[in-house]
Amino acid sequence: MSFVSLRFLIFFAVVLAAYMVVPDRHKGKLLLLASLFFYACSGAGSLLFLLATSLAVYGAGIWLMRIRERHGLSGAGSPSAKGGDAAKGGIASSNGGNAPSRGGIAAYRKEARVALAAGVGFCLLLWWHCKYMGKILSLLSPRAGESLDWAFFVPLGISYYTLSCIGYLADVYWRKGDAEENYGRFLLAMIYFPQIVEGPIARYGRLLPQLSSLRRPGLGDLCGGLQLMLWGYFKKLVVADRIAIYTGDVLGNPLECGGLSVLIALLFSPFQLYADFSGCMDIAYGMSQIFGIRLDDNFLHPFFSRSVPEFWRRWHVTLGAWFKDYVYFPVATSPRILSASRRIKERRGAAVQRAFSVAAPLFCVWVLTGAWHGTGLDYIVWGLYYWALISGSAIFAGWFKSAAERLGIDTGAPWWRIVQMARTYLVFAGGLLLVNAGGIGRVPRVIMGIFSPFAPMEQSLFGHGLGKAGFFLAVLCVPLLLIVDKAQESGSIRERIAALPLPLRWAVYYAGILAVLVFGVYGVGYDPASFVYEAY
Amino acid sequence: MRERVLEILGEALPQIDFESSDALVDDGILDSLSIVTLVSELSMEYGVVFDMAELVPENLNSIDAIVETVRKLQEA
Repeated sequence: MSFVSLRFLIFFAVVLAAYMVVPDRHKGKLLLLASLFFYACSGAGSLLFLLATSLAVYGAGIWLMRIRERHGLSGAGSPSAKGGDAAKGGIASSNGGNAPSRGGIAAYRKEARVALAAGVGFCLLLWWHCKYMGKILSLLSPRAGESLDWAFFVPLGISYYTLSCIGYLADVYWRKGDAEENYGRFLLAMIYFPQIVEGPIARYGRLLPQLSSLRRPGLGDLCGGLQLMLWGYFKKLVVADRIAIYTGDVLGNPLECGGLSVLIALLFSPFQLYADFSGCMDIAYGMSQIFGIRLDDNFLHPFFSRSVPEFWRRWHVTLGAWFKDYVYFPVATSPRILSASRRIKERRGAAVQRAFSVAAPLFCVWVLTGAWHGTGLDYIVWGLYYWALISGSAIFAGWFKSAAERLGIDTGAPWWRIVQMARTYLVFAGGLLLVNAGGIGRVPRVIMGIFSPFAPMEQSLFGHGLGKAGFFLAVLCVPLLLIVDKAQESGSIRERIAALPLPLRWAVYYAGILAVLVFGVYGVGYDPASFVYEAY
Repeated sequence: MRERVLEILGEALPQIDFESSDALVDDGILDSLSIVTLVSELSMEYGVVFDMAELVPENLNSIDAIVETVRKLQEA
């Protein structure tokens, strides 16, 4: 059930009405039933996979807790519920924990590793089966692949809940959080319908306490949530789906469209993806605000980033934070990597050792990040692209600083900040090209398309499905999104609108609703384009 | 030990003033790359292994907390 479908709006209206009247102590059960219904609409097979995963992970969590109790390590409590943790430098906090001996820890780890491996292994096995097995089988035997294609489908949200489940078990194993004893509450955290579609990637340690204290929303949360949902629908239906018409048409046939069209499509692509993904997030946040749940931020105005590392702290924040906490830190601080670092330092010196310490764990992060996004070689190349850029920016930070000084660049000057933001944007657009070309082999074709003769201006701008009005509307939406993002950096826009005089306030609300109704891309025989990140 | 730890970290992370704050992680002064560099340098110097459970803000927010963490890891 897509968030932008009429069926979903009716579903949400019914759930909201019920949420307002059901007693607070039963709101969790209502959300669970609603989420199960929502999820079941994506297919019985998907629901079966999710329920199997939930039972395995719930069981593994309880198993880990019993092991911790036997070793006197049960007192970690829940990880910090600080809202911004996912975006900060960023390790989950612990509410006191014991100070066990090394011997005690070693004995605990030996036993707990089995439970951890069982739970994580089950999650990864299902994820691997859904994402990769069908493709592998088709490559090995196309006929077998065809006859068994019913067995290979991608359950809704599997990439998201798999990461959340692995993180949950890791937190219990590392004594950064306790396992949830109530299966219903755990299942709700996994299947909570506003976030199951495209995230944000939940940290169950932050979500579970909120699911235990649901209450009827006040007028402020109800209105604020609905306004945020409206903004999300605007971004998706007016901006993202409109730009997608142009980029889809051009990038599908780059050599036939003329260089200017290809260039515009490549420059438009980041905004299309941002509007699509962040639009879905705003809808999810809005719904959650109404239910009294605060989900982790997933976007922090990424197009104002001045470097690639900064960009990935502001774009898909929960994914970056997950890989940082559950891949980067464990790999970087593992005895194997540390002893390799030591050997490198002895043989090659400190500079090489520091480069290795940076690049080696980042390699793991970015290859896995690429694999999470997609099964093709193009996603691995995409991951390596960012690995090279981010490692390079850390390793050569001193050189870049010296170069800027030698060139007399005032790195605090406004013009330099704009150059950095433009540079970061182009780097991101380049990365998108790797995965939007329809296969890594087609990337040269798209690049060649930029250098093909320009078609007449009218054709280049208005000849790819948008027409003149549609094209100009798409172009105008780009600075609009940037202005709103910039304004949000200095405080809540919804609160500022709420402080306006009544007629002006309602003029803004009605303008928003009309904009979505009139300018939303519905089209003849409207079939809403799926949210891009729903495919993961 | 405090002086030696400051010397090691000052050489590895010259851009960070470890005595400027008691909230090095919470305030984002120590980012993830810096934390890994810190762990790597202190592990090599003192032969200690940081458990993931020890990589929490409380243990890294100030130079005194870092020194205390290293001391506890040596004693364990």
